[in-house]
Order: sequence, then structure tokens, then C-alpha cells
Amino acid sequence: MSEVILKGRGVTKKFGGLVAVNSVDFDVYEGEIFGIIGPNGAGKTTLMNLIVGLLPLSDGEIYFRNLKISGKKAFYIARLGIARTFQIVKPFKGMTVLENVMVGAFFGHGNYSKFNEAKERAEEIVELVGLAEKKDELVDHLNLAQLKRIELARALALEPEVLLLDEVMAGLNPAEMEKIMNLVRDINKKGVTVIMIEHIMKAVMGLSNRIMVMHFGTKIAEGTPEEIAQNEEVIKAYLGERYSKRRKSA
Amino acid sequence: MKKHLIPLGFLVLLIILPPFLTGYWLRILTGVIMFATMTEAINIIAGYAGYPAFGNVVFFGIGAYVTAILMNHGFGFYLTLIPSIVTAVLFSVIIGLPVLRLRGHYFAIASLGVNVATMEVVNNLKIAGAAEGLTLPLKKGASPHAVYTYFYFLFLIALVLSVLFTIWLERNRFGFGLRAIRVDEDGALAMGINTPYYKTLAWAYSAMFTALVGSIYAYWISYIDPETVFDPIISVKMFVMMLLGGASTVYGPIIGAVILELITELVWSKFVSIHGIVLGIIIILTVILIPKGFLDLFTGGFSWKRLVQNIKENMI
Amino acid sequence: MIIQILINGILLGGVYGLIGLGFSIVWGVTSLINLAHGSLVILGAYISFWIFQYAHIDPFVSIPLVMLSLFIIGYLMQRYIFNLAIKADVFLTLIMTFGMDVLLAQLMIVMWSADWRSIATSYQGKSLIFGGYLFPYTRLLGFVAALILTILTAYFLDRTKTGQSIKAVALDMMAARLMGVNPGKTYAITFGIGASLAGAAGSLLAVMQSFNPAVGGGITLRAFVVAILGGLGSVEGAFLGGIILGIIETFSAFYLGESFKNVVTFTLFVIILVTRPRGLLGKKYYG
Repeated sequence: MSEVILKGRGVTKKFGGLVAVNSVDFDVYEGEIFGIIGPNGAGKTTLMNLIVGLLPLSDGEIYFRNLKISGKKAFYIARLGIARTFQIVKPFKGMTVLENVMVGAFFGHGNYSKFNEAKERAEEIVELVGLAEKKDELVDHLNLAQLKRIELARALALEPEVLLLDEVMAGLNPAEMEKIMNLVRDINKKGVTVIMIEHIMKAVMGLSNRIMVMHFGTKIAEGTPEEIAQNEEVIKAYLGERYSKRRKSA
Repeated sequence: MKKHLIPLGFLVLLIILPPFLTGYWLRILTGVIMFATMTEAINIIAGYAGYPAFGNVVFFGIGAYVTAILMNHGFGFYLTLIPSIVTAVLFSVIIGLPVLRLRGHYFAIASLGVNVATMEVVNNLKIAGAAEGLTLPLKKGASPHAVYTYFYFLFLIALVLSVLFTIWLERNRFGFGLRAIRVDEDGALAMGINTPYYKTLAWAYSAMFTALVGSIYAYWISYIDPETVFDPIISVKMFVMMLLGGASTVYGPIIGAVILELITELVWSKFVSIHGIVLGIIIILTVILIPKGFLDLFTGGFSWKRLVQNIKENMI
Repeated sequence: MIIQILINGILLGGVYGLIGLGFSIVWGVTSLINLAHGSLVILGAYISFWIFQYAHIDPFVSIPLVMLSLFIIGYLMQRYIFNLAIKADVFLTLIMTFGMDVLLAQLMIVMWSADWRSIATSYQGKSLIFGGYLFPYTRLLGFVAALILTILTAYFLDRTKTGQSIKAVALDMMAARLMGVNPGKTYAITFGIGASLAGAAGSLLAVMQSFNPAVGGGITLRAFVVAILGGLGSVEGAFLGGIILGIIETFSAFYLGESFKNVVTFTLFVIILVTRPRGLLGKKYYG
């Protein structure tokens, strides 16, 4: 088995009295696709915000390889090579597609500090995600599917070692979803470790090597897609107590 | 490069123009150039970084006072420029560290509060002449026209520097960082941008150019008092100029400064008593009618539809 | 002595509370930071001054008339001017209200000149003496009037249909629209109320101190201090914030000198903004 690239121990986040993430342990291995699923409000996005440093932890620690990253600033973590996309797309409005991606190239792990270098790198990535034709358009005029690609492109421009995807498939039609899934697979093949939060089961089950299931802020299961599909706790969390009992008695 | 050719032509024109102008027009043009420079400066923090620094005139006042105080202690004008800029930049950093953590309304008003508080402190400062203000040594020259021309070129140099800075900003990673911060600060952080550092740096640059202008202004006018050089209306004029021309563009601030300063000067000379009324109306109309500026309105051809659409967007 | 300063501070604070209340209601409901608020206060002072000069009506008696005038001015201002750009960026609306401030200040200079004015009532300079302490009549009456108006405002927002629709718009504009509330009109009414409270505060100030069109800016910043101190979203808070500011100003004027009063107020203003408890920011309605 390959090395652990991202490790969490007792990761906890409290908002006032509400415990959004409750003492979660996780290990993500280099080169894998790690899925995180769970019902709404399970704490998945919060966990992601904790990893990238957009929220401070209430308790626990997160390590990138052997480096403790919990407590570090978000921009520092991004430069280390941990990139994320946002569930609610956050394009830099008023800038073109290419310029959006250039931001990532300028500041990311790749550290292309010269204008022309950043531009070249951004052009490659725009090509990769299939937005080459739109590269000089303002992002303000793009549709959701295209914006999701920009999210992905910007994150890729950071040249991450770990890429966190927050519901990149939500709101897409099946054809678009298929394209993004292939894209994620390609990115992973190039050696980027992927952590994905996804509601769409087909996508997570199809892509992930391993899956972690969260419910009310706690981790309730972890395993291969097949194991997760069979897990009693998971079925209960997703479909409710009654369904689970009926299944048992049947 | 092409888009800089026309401005370059204007620059050449501005350089050869002074001998052909009367003192009156030279003075008005000097005022336009002065405001254009300060608007370029506010454009860095308010336009590119999106932090509406309502109190930016505070750096103008600081620059003016440092020069005035030092010249009263026997320093030559040029020797006062570095201390003036250093003071303003240090001030922007010290104030910026806490205040730039605020966003939107709160930052705007806090920066205004900093401005007014500083003015009140200077009002009580003996070394700065307190509320009575300070007189500066007069610039000596062969003729009044020569003196006018001297200040005209000082301001013009400041303007050219600020424009060159903005051109550099447009094609530089720093500029990209600021534009990202303006749109979405969390997004910028996630992209690896050290937002607190960038914001502070942006305000420091803004302070630098504004203080430089303040220094030249003090020497030019040769008398300053707190009420004049810390007047919030100067900040607001910079904002309106930036809006008129177009925020976060290289030349928008200059276009805005030309429009507003010419109008107010012409109104000022004809109707001194209702100057404020006209200025107030211009400000309100600018916000309502051209919230995105003239440059935006005329890019890709003027269209009434876009004009109306821009207005409607902000209506309730 | 300390108690006497405290009394002066509290009495002045009532008026500050009223100044902050109008400002805070407009801000809370329409998201407009009205930089012309101070000028509206001064406008109220001038109208009161006019009525006193020409009709010889006592400033405390003419408060309803001043409030009505300011309500109409405020209503029209919001309905036909500010509403046209109300959804624009923060700094655009700030600039717009600043433009209005410049306009109003100059208009008042044209109407009443830039000279300092004051209203000399027959009871000016006289005080009620109670327990060995002085209660100047103008300040005492001003405090009582401010308190009454604050209570009436709270009652209006809680118990009347218009007040409820104002709250509804502040809470959720879309939902309010669906319930048949006209947001444009509600904004105008809200601003009218804010302006009329400003006008009333102007009447009260006019009997306490002299004024001219240039003092509006300082009043606006004080309104802001009060609104933040009291917490945006609370009528009682504004009153309390006013009293805190009144006390601080009176003490700093006494111990540091009149000219340092403003240094303290505005420094405090910046410090509060930077360090304000998080709760003050989140609340955006009058509940």
C-alpha cells in the first residue's frame, strides 16, 4: 500500500453548541480517489473547509504527509499543494476564463510568478478541461456546467498533490457528468490524489477507491464502495430506521 | 501595447502645452492632474482590491503636513518627499492591519473614522500649527508662469508614475491577486493568495501616491490647515472620478478626473454659492445613471439598452 | 462633581440615542448607511429655528411639525432618489448619500447662511436643582422627549401594521413581496421615519447648543457610533448606545478639554468598529 498523504486525527468543529464535525479520523493514501458521502448536514463541506484551512479546528489535528497543517493559513495550505473546488461555484467575476485560471497558476504549488509563464500554464489547463474556445470570455456569461469546469481548472492550475472536489457534479446533466467523471479519472491517473464529496451515488461509487460515510458530524463507516453499499449503518442513515428493519426481517 | 498609444500621445501634448496656456488654464489643468493621480491611487485599493477606502484623503493630509512641518524646519522640498511617503506608508500599515480585516460598509466607515480622528489629532498638534494650520515657504521662480509650470510638471511626474504602476499591476501577479480579493476573499485564499498581506500592500501603495500628491499640494498652495487637507469631500471626489471613468482600469481614473474636475471648476468660477449643490447633484446622478463608468458604457460601442439596463439593475 | 458630569452625559446621551436610532433603523432595514443623516438633523434644527423665529412656537411644542416636514422630505428622498440605486454596491450608495449630504449642507447655507445659530428659549440656562445637582431644563426636557420618541418608535415597529411590514421587508424582502408588501414604498416610509427622528433630534439639539450647516458630518459619525454601540437591530440598544456616548464625551470634554472630545469620540469609533463583538454584525433587522 502507498503512503498516507493526508491524515486527520480527532478532527472536530463546533459552531456554538452545534458539533458539525465530531472527532473524525481519516487516512487518505497517495494516488487514490477518496469519496466522502453522507446526508445533508453531515459535516462534509465543513470537514473540507477544515482541511484547507478556511475554518479553524476546534480540536484535533490534520497532517499533510508529515507536516501538521491544522492551524496554518488557507493560502499557505493551498501553496503546499492542497486545492479545492467550491460546491457553490465562486468564479472571479469580471475576469476572463483564462485570467481565472491564471490566478491559480500564479499563486499555486507551481508558483509561476511571471505573467507569460502563468498564462502558458493556464492555457494548457483550459485546454485540458475543454474550455479553450471560451478562454477570452468573461466568466460572468458562462453556464453552470462551464463554471464547474472553471472551478476544476483553477484548482488544477494550483498544481495540487491533493485535490478536494465539493460536489462538482451537482446540477449537471448525465452527459456533462460523464465528461467530468472522465476528467477526474484522468487527473487522478496523473498522480493527483482526489478527495470528493458527492451526492450523486453513481459518481462516487464509480470513481472512488474508498469511501468514508459521515452522519451528523461523525464517521459511521469507511471502506470500498462494495463494503459501503452493504453496510447496515449507512443504509439506516440514508434510508431511515424503518427501511433498515424491514430489510432485516425480509 | 496598442491601447497605450493614444495616452502616450496625450502625454506628449501635456508636456509641450504649458508655454501656450494662460495661468488660469495651467492651474486648472494642474488640479485635474493632481486629482487624476489621487484617483489612480485610490483605484489600487478601492478599484482593484475592492476595499472602499473612504478615508484615503488621510494620506494626502499626512503627506501635506510632513512636507509642511519639515520645510518649516529648513528642509528643502525634495528632501521632504521620502519622509512624507514613509510616514504615510507606515500609517497605512499600522491602521491597515486591524482595519483591513473589516469588509464592505464597515471598512468604508472605519477608514472614514481614521481620517476624521487623524484630523482631530492634527487639530490639537502644536508642531502642526493646530487648527490655525501652517504656512510654507513660497516657491521662487522667474515668473508666476514659471512657478505654475514647475508645479504642473511635478504633478505630471506623479501621475505618470502612478499610471506606470497601474499598467504594471494589470499584468502582474500582484494585480491578479487584488482582483481575486475584490470578487471573493475566501476564493482568493483557497487559490493560495496571502490576502491580508496583499490588502495591506495595496493600501500602502495607494498611500504612497496619495502622500506624494499631498506633499506637492502643500508646497503648491503654500498654506494648509486640517479642515482642508483632511476634508472627506476630497476622498469622495476621488471615488466619483474613479466611478465616472471606470474602476479597476488604467485610464478610467484620468477620464473621470478630467470630467469632474472640469465641471466643478467651471461651476465653481460661475456659481460659487451653489457649488456644493451642483457637486452633490453630479455625485448622485453619477451613481444612479452611470454606476459602471463611462469606459464600460463605451466599450464595444455605446448602447442605450446597456445604459438603461445598468440603471435598472440597481433599482428597487 | 463626577455625578454632575454623569448627569450631563446621560441627558446629552438621550439626544444622541435619538440621532442614532433614526440612522440605525434606515441602515437595518434598507442597508443604506445614510451619510446625510447629520444634515437631516441640522435641517430639523433650522426648521425648528424658523418656526421659533417667525411663529414664536417653543421648539419642544413644534417637534411634531418638524417631524412631519422631515418625514415628507425623507420619504420623497428615498422614494424618488435613493431607491433608484439602492441595490448598487456598498460604496456606490455611500457616495450617493454623501452627495446628498454635500447638497443639503450647501442648500442650508444658501437658506440660512453659514453663521452659527441657536434658539434662545426663556428657560435657557435655567436648571432644576435636585439633591444638590443641576438638571438644565433644556437638557432635561430633551432627554424626556428623546425617551418618549424612542418608546413610541418601538411601539410603532411592534404594534402597527406598517411597522410589521417594515420588519418583514428587513427580514426577507422576497417573502414580504409575496405577502403583498411594496418594498419601494416601505423603504421610503422607513427612511421617512429615520428622517423625522433626525429632525426631532435636531429640534432638541437646537435648544442645547449652537449649530451651523457644517456640523452635520460630526453628527453622522456619532450616529454611526451609537448604532454600532447599541447593536444594529435594537431600538433600546440605540438609546443605550446614545447614553454611553453622551457619558464618554462629557467626561473626555471635562478631563481632556473640549477640543480633545472629538479625538476621543472618533478614535473610539474606529476601535469599536475593529473590535466589535461578532453579534453586532450578524443581525440585520428590527426584531
